[in-house]
Amino acid sequence: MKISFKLLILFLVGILFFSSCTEDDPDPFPSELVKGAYIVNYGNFGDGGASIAKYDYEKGELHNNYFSTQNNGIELLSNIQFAYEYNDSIYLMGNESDQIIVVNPLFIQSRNGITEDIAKPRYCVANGDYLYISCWGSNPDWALMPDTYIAKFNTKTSKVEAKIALPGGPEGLIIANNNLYAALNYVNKIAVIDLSSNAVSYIETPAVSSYFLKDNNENLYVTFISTWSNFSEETGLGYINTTSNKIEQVYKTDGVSTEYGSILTPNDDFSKIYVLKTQYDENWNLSGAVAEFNIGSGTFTTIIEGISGPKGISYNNADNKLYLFTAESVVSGGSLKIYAEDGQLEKTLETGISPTMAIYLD
Amino acid sequence: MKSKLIFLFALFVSMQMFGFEPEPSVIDTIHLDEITTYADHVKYQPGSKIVSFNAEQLSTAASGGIDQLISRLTPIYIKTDAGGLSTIRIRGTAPDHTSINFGGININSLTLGHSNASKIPAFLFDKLDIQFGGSSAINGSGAIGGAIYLGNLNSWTNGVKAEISTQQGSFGEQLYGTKLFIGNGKIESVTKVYVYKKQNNFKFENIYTGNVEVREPVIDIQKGSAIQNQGLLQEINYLFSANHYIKNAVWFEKDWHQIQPNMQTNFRYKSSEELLNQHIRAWSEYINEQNRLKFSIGSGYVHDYQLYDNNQNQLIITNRGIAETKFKYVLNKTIDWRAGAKYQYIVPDVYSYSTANITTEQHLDVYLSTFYQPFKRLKTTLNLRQMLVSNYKAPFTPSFNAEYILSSGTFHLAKLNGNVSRSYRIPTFNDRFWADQGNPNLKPEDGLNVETGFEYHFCNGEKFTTVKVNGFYMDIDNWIEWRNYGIWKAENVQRVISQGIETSVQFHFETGKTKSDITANYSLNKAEKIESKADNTTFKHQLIYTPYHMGNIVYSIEYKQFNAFIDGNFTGGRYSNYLGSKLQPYFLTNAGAWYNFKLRNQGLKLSFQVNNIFNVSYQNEKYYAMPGINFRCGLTLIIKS
Repeated sequence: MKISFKLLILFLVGILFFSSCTEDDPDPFPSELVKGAYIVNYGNFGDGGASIAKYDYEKGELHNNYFSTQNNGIELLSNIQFAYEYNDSIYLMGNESDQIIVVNPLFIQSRNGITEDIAKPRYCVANGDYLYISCWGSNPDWALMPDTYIAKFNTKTSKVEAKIALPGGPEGLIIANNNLYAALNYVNKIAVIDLSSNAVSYIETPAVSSYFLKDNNENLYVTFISTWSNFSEETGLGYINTTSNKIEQVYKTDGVSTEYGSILTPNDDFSKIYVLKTQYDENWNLSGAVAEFNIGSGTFTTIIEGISGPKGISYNNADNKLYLFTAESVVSGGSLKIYAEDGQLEKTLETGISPTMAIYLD
Repeated sequence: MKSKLIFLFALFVSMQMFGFEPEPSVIDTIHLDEITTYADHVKYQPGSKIVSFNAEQLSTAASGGIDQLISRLTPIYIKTDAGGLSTIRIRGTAPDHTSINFGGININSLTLGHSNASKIPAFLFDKLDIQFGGSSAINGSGAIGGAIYLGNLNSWTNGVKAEISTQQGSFGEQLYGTKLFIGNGKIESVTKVYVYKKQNNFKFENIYTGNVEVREPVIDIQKGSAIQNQGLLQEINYLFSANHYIKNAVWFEKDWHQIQPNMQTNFRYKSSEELLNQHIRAWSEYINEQNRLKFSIGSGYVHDYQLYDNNQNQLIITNRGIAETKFKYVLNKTIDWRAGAKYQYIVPDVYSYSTANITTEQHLDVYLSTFYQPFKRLKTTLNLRQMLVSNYKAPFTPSFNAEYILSSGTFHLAKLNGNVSRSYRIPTFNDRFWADQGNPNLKPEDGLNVETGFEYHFCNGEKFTTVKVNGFYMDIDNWIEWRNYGIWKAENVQRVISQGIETSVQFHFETGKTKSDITANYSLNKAEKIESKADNTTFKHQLIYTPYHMGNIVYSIEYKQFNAFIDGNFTGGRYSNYLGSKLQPYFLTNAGAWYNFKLRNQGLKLSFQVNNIFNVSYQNEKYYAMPGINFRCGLTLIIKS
């Protein structure tokens, strides 16, 4: 009788288990609701105005204030520095107030933002259950950035488990060969953090760096930029061999953008990298441009010029278009400009304040 | 004739009582010149709207900056947080468009272009004039939207007089101040010193907690917004004879505040950044107005220092030396001329400026004014000014003002006035020289101001009424903004037209020993961008932080030694960006009373004030909390010998 009872329980559990996997069970994040490009509008630092715009690239329709629509009208109260999708969650790096906002693929926020040990979060990258978040500290010394760090954030418990001190203003992050690479925005170094031991080593660089891309061989492209506090003529793209942790090549080009969020993006087969730049025209008017870096030849070709208010660039693998984000002011709407791969402008749409980047969900 | 004189005298007295000194009319202008320290701006701009506040009114805002007084008693919009930063925006213009004058010094920062009005202490001054509209022909660069004149009266003290004041208020507010007047009728020393502190830890309803689990507002306490200001104004004046004297004033100011976090940051407060400003402003002037040829010679020195968040690597310092001379020739009562020149030698020491771009800059203003009264009812002035700047071209700036008495009788006076003026602002040092983002090729901002007004004064025994209506039109071209061109750069990007109507009604009446005054002001201001080099999305849109409607009403009463007031001010809805985000209008009510009495032959003044009586929860700047109801009580001891 006892065995029969246990079998009955097992049978019922089995039914429950398999019934939960039937095709009738609704997908909580169905593609027809989720699919689209989500544009992050940074807003105006300290004065709010951040928002998310959803662009349905199949219908060609853009919906501003998407976050607010999905959350019963509440505002994004932080300026969103960066957004990152991982395991059916989107992590928004919020500044002023400083927090990590976690939303589901429908951009619904059901839990409060994480603030503990998060100060001026910049960028993040995931590895296993952890998100590594570059942070600039609550009251940075902008000259030396001695108190900046990497927050090791457990995505299961939503807690920062460790703070890895990393002076120099870490900005872009990437993981390769079990190392976390951090582009330092205030010193001519790239930090390499061994994820097993948290030991930090450095790669000397010809200029300060901002963001990475990883190729199919686990090697990295990194942007070298010139800033007011760290001027350099050695700007361009660096190529880092992650086995030797050496810079193997520097592909020089002037005026690599000092904007934050998304200034370089690869095409779908990683044969090209598009780089956002700032340059003077023949009349010495300053404007933005996009250069196409050919991986094979190692050369840059300018494909878009005369961009007013360049903020970011992103390649959409779904429609093979280049999305350019522009904003001339921090109190009025910005633009999403959609270009063909050859640099032909196809469409311009109005976004929220200061669009900087996009993530793509399907 | 006698009744007219009585009327004009009564009118003048009533203006003093209202605190609105008469805009220049036939009689009173001369009187103003005699009693105020710097009043050429009144004499040579008869068609301009200038309102004045006296020492009594300034004393009601002694614990704090002039921003409190202006926002309570005028229809001028002050964009402000809870005491750290206040900027003045007259008639829809930017903070850079109001010059603030102390003697021959425009105290606005040469790097930023404007002043923080919350750091200009009302305690140090006896008189405040506010001019509406462009006045660059008189005040030089920057006076596109308006001008403020900080003044002190020449009392030529004979003996010793001292005032010792303290005020204690809500949220840790404390003011300690002393005014010491020593003189023999010829030589006079006036010392004013104050220390002001405020913890600023007020309660407010936080609607921006970011708490998505419990979305209701919470009662929060403002953190990280402390203020500590201190200043000393020392005057040494010498009177040779009437209209022949020397004035020397040096003003030391040290202001520190924590930068107020917005509501969402305050809810999860960690720390605040802080700002320290120190200023030395010195002005000396020799004035000889005994003869037909009157003249003055002045010189000054200004040191401005700013330290942001204790970062010694990012100091912003400017030093300037100033010299000015003016000659005035009075041909007769109906014609006079004034000519002058003002020179400034400026040395910026700013961490982000390259010495290859700027080490020094020199300014020379030459100006000519003429006053002409062709017949008794009409007064006119023509002002011309040309500024010369090393390595930069500033425009020629004329203005024409007129005032016409439409009708005058035993009990009334009606006037029409108007002016047409050009105004300008040369770009700030930051606009031109900030790191690699400054743009030395910027053009000056160029304004045209057209204004007309009507005034009616009525006096019947112990009742006085004044009604003023002004209409204005301002066209400001080459308005400078910082724009993103890949890097942020200053650029002449837009043309703005600001137009509107302002009305003011004042009523004074006496019942027995009780004197009452009611003043009401209203301003309708439409300010829109009509051309832009860059984005086209904001055309025909009211400028952000520019209310269409502003208004205020003040009732004051005096009974023997007792005074009381109640005022209410309305700030209309304002856009906080060009995407339609709008801040709600609000109405604030304040009241106060003071009593003067004698104690062993010395004066004692007890005061009490309540601000935001109805505890209105409001935002002036989006996301920044403002204090609810708050109290202030004060004690002033006046000692004379």
